[in-house]
Amino acid sequence: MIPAALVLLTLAVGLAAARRTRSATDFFVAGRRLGAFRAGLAVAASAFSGFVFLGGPGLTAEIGFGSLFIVVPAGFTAALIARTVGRRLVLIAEASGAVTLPEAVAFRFGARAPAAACAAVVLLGSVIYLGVQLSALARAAAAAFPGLGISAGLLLGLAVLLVYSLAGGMVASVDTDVLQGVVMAAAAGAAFWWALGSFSGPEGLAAAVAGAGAESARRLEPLGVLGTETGLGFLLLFSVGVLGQPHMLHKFLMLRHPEALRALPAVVGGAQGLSLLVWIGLGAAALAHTASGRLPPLAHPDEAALALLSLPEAPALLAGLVSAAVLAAILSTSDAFLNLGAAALVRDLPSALGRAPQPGGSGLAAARRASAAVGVAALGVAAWHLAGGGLIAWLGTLGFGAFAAGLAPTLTLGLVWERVTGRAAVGSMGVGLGALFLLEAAPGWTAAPPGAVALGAGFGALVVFSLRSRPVHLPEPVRLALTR
Amino acid sequence: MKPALAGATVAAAGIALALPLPDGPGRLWSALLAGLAAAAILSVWGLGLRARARRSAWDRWTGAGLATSLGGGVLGAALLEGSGAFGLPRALWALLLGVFLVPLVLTNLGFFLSFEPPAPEDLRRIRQLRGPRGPEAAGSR
Repeated sequence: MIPAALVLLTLAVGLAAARRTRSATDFFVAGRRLGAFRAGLAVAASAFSGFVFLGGPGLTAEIGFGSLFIVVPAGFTAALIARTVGRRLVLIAEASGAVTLPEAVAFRFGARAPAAACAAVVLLGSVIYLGVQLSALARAAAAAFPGLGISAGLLLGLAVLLVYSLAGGMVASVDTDVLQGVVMAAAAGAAFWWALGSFSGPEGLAAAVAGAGAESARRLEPLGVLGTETGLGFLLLFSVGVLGQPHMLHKFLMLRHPEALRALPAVVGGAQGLSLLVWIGLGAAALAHTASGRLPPLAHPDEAALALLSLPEAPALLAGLVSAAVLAAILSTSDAFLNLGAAALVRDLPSALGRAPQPGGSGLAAARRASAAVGVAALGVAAWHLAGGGLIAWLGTLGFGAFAAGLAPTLTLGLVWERVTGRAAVGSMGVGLGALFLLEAAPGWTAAPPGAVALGAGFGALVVFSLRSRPVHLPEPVRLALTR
Repeated sequence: MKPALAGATVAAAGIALALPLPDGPGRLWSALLAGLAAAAILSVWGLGLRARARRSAWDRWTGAGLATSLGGGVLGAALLEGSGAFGLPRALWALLLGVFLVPLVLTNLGFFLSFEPPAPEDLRRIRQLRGPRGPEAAGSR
């Protein structure tokens, strides 16, 4: 009932936003009208996805609290983004009118090649990440609407997503993000409270896990089951790699004034902190219920959160609220990726080939067609992933790693260090992505997550290529935007 | 103190503390990686104001506080043993407090208090320089 109400409300809010979407600027950057609160909730909602709500508890059930290395960086990453990249993106938008990250990159380097490379990374990563969301959506829809099945859940979820995203673009995305962010925060608090109480408090949870033997007790330790390289590699990847996540950074191009930046990290941090309770609370409860035998063995770890809430002792209202929050988390991230992928297809890649973006209504129609194409491509990724039975967290880490290794070096050092050239940026994106896919294809080369190693390779390549390039003088608009 | 320098100091102290502990090589490796991870994150934090001239007292305090909390948190997660509050491992508390909770309050409050918007004349100049030919042309040299 609650998930169905959320879906209907999301459709209503999204379709209402369609009336305010008249141009490509509305479609891609919500008319650049956002204040700190709406932008902050939109950043948090698009950052916390099916990866967090289903993948997190599932991964915790599988590997224990080592999974927290993925999510605790949320404590400082909101301020880190605003401080290193966010401020400069806001000023680049003021100086250039950029509505996408590749356009901001084009402005910084004054060249088409880095923008084209950036657009290619955004498109590739968006399709992978949207595939993660659709995989999670299929599982969540099948659980929220019993009898639906995974395949029907996948198609129904994509249909809902396409209807409101295609109609309302980024205006719909931001409006629905606010609604979805509130649902997620409420569900997170309620789920955390219930999870702690399910074993009479944290002592009971810890005792249930520790009481199941030494192997089980190790899962309470941050590095207990994970190797040191894996745990700290996750920490590095999710701390620094966040600076290359376009679904979060894109929102900085939508602020109506640089002053809105002041309160934005506090809004993002607060909302993410609340949502994090789901990962910790349901993850701990999944561990304790599994260890004590109250939860039957799961067919798949990603079912942990929803299986917990289907237990007889879980209140029906809570189960409905969390199911709605899972759908909200997935939809809010998915619409951001549809938008980003569409922008790469109809604006950034054509611009890189020397073609001007289509104006007015025809530009809007092209954006909608491109969104649909990105959705269909992601459907293929999701179907492949579901058929293989892989963890949502694995595909999520791959998508996150692609953005981190491809974009974080250029968007961090590239916006700070004058010496970085366009050629070095293109080289860094190539090395970062190449390293990631090489390590994913040949597992076992390193105990650290491939994304963390690839991130380091991308940074290293950017520094080396920049030092080997001839220094260039920045034009005044670029220098002002990067230093004020 | 620059955040990266503070992070490196905390990391070095942790490694020195880990050296005489039993199970030496494994603990040393954990401490070394934890220190490197903290120093790398803090270096990126330090990049935030690199290009700008002014740095407020709030900013310095936030950087130093984050360095101490993050360095201590990751080293604690790698090195601490035994049970702490609510029966949960001390290493878990080090991670939750040092890497999540303290930085959550510190960095967001610090950013709010130390934020300086661009001067109105700078913003006016940036907008005036905006060309009609699109982002790439505006940034071309």
